[in-house]
Amino acid sequence: MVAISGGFTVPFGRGLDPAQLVRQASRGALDDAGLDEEQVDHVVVANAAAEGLNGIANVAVWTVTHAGLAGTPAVRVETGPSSGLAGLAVARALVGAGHAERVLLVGWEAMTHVDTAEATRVLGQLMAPDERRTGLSLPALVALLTSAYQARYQVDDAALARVAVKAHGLAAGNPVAHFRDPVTVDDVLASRPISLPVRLLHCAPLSDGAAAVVVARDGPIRIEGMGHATDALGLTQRRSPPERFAATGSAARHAFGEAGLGPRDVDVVELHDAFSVLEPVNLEDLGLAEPGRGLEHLPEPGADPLACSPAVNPSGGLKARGHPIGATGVAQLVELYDQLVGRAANQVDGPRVGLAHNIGGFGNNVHCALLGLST
Amino acid sequence: MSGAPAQLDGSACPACSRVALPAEQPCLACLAATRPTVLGPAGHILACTRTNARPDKDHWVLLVGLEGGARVLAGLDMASGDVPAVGDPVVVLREKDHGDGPAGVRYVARPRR
Repeated sequence: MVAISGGFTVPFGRGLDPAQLVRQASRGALDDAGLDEEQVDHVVVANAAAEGLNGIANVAVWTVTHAGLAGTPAVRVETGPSSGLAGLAVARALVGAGHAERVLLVGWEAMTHVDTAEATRVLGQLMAPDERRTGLSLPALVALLTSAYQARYQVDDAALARVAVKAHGLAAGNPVAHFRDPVTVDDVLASRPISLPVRLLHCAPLSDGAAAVVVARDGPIRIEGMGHATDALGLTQRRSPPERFAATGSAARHAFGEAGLGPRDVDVVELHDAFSVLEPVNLEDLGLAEPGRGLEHLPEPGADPLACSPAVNPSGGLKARGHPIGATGVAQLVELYDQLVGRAANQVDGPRVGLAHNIGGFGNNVHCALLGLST
Repeated sequence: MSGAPAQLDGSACPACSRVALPAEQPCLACLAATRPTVLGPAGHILACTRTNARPDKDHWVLLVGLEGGARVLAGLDMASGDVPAVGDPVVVLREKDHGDGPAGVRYVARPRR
């Protein structure tokens, strides 16, 4: 069994220096695990777009240099926005196969140093070229999914807006979150149209951020199971219903199968809600809600979202904690680590099993990881 | 740990070997290139979004499911105030080439009444 022995997330935000981000995340995770730099056998770097966003190539060496780990073997993993959990798969394999005793997984992205148009262009490279040429962006693809979900399950705009309200409310209590201000349903519905029915407050922000965990043979939190699946690059090349991500279902089934667990065992989940609609869609694809009933999982107004079973995105999720894409999956791991050891900012009551779910591209490179208490 | 990649359930276009489609059918690009005056095949809207790409118009992008199972993205300019809906019937037409070969084809949709 491979474990996580420490973790740290640098507060997400705007205008943050990438060198400081990786230094702070690495040092924080090593301190948390009680390690010095020389005790790290290998570094895995999760980063999706440093070439396009920061003009940085040779990303693994750039990262270990600024993390004070030059000389340590390092590799960069890139699967788009699921790079973080893809990095965990690589780190776990290194430890599990006996090639390393302790691996530092560092995820980072600095996205706010270019303007939104340029960031959108870079992120658009995740899409199929044919579909990008139609003028669509990733938010527009999500808008297509949203329209299909709303039509199939008769979901109105106000119901969907409550997802963003819940996310911002939780992020307000999370000191590492990018957004710390609550919003209302009216705020969401009045926000600027991006690609209808998707509006600005349905979207995760472009964020700068970094997070790191130590993957080792022993630690307080075990990696109980992982799953990975892909789907066709283009939306038009798929045959699954347009409101579903089939790869999420496959990845989750693999993770549950390896762990010997099922959806009912999950106490807390950090899922990939880059847009509001993805919370119910992901809950359903993960098997945590019946198809079309993911929104029923939202707490009633005024109720405690941390009391839901499972608790969903207590960090505020990508939507409000922020989404520095290469760091996102690793930040999910840190949040679940903190939840399971009982020290999270928005602490769920006594969780024993956590599920991380990380999507690369438009639903086509999905990783899941199940974490559990070692004792 | 790893799942198998999703398989496309169609086969390649017999003319250009490029686009996965149900067996023995040319892709829309080849169909349009060889029969440019033919209106495209009928289908229905699977998903739709109003985009900001053309602020002077009510411009929508549709995911259209065609008879036979293929899917295309197609643009649709609506009269102001009209809104397409998931499930509406449409026909898909080739608008123009703006690149070399079949990859340069763009599609537009028209309501089918």
